[in-house]
Amino acid sequence: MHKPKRITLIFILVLYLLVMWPILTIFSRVEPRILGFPLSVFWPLLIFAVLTVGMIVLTYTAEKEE
Amino acid sequence: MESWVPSILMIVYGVVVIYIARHPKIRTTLNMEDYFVAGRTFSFLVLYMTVAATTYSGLALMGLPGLYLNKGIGAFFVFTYISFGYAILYMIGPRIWEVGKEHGYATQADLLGGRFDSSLIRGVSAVTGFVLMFPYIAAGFIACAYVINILTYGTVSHWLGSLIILAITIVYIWLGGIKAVGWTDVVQGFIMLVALIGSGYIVVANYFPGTTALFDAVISKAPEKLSIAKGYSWPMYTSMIFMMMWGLLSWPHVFIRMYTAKSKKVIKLTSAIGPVGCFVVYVSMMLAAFAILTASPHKFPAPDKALLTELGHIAPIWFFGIVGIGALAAAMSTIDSQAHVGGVIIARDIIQKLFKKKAEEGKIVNLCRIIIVIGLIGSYIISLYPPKLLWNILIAAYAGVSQVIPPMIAALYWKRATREGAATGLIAGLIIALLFSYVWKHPLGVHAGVWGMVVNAVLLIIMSYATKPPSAETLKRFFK
Repeated sequence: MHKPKRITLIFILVLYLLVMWPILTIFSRVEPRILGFPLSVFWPLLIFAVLTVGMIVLTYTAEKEE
Repeated sequence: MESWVPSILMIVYGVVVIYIARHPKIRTTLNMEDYFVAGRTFSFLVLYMTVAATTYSGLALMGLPGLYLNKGIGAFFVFTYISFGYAILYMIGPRIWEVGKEHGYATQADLLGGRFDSSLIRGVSAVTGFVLMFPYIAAGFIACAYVINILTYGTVSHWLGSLIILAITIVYIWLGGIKAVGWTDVVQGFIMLVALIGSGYIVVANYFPGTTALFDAVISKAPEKLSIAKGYSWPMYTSMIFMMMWGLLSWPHVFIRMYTAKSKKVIKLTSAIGPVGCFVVYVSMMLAAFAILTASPHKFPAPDKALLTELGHIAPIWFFGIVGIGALAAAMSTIDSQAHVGGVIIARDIIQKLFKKKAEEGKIVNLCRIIIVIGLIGSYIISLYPPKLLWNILIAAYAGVSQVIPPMIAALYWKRATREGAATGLIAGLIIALLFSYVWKHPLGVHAGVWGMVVNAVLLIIMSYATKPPSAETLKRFFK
């Protein structure tokens, strides 16, 4: 039976919490601006980028199919 | 003369889509495995493009700029739920594929009905998916009608635009089943991505030297658009994401794609790389919407029509045409997937499994085609009455469809889950979602769909422990 690995679950859960209330409220402001983007825009974009890269890495490491 | 360019491009697009569906390698046989789940042969490219094209509907190009204009970065809930929806596909998709391949499943209701050995659960989940698909398909027709209306400078009216899309979709689904849907999605997906990225760039570049200047303008003219809390309350924002990220998998047209993959690895790669397209599409639409909001001198008939109308003023005519067919591609690639799976649900889950168990495969496929046509015509009629904001249709439909998730997770991973638990939870969840959507609206600011999911899960657990465990034979079949 296929099950996601624990590291995958933890990775996705941590990133999810970082873009949810209450943590997201810390980043829901304009300053500091990063690459011209307000923090409130940059923060979720950063998390989505990390999520994607992380899942690709996991596919070839912890989640590699035999 | 130049004003004909978008119309000519639209006609060429329609012809190409039908040509692909008629191609001998894609044209379907009367074999159910082939028509329903493409013989479980989709490679990474086809699966990625068909999932992406299905996920980014006409709502991406038409609805999303409208949502950003109204709610500012509150619209990030869309971005978030799709990204984490992909993460859920990443974790659960391979298990669905595994069970589907082993038991020859073609639908969501197949899996639930099979695991819980229950016609009631099969019927309720099938009907829920089917009924809720109508408004979603209608939203696609509305988006297409907007596009055609704008691209033909008002010559083709709303009802006629929808009717043209209805005709094209019927032809190619009739011919090709899910293979035609998958392969046309590859073409449509590319056109859509070019259109979405290009339109964002053109609108921003027309008014601003770069994103820093764009956000300077947003900060000075509409700072409230950079606060999530100004768009939605925190409970609503958080609960919508929770409901919709799970709900993404519960849409039958997304779920069935897990069965079409060639292997588990294809599903994992598709889900892992899925957010890339999401990133590109949603950032591009956000920048375009903010540029329009702060700098455009033009007036728009409705927020959903803002981007395309703006491009009509500022983009080269050929690109305006490309964006138009990109929007059509985005909408049609979702409509066709949903219509296809709607037909499969009724033909397979209701007619074949519940009533005519021994009908020939060819008859079932033909029946499926007829149901698809009826479903599309029903959605067309709904589309003649467009709402204020396209996204509102989709959010409402998610509340119901996400109720399939608790029994689905239990079916896949929890041996103690029983038929009685799953049925009670599912039915109670649907009732709560309905009541909290339309009678006592969203208590404590939390979306009705989440209340439904919580009640659903709690009852599933309580009733499962209160009833006899599933037989050893059922467990052996499912949990190897």
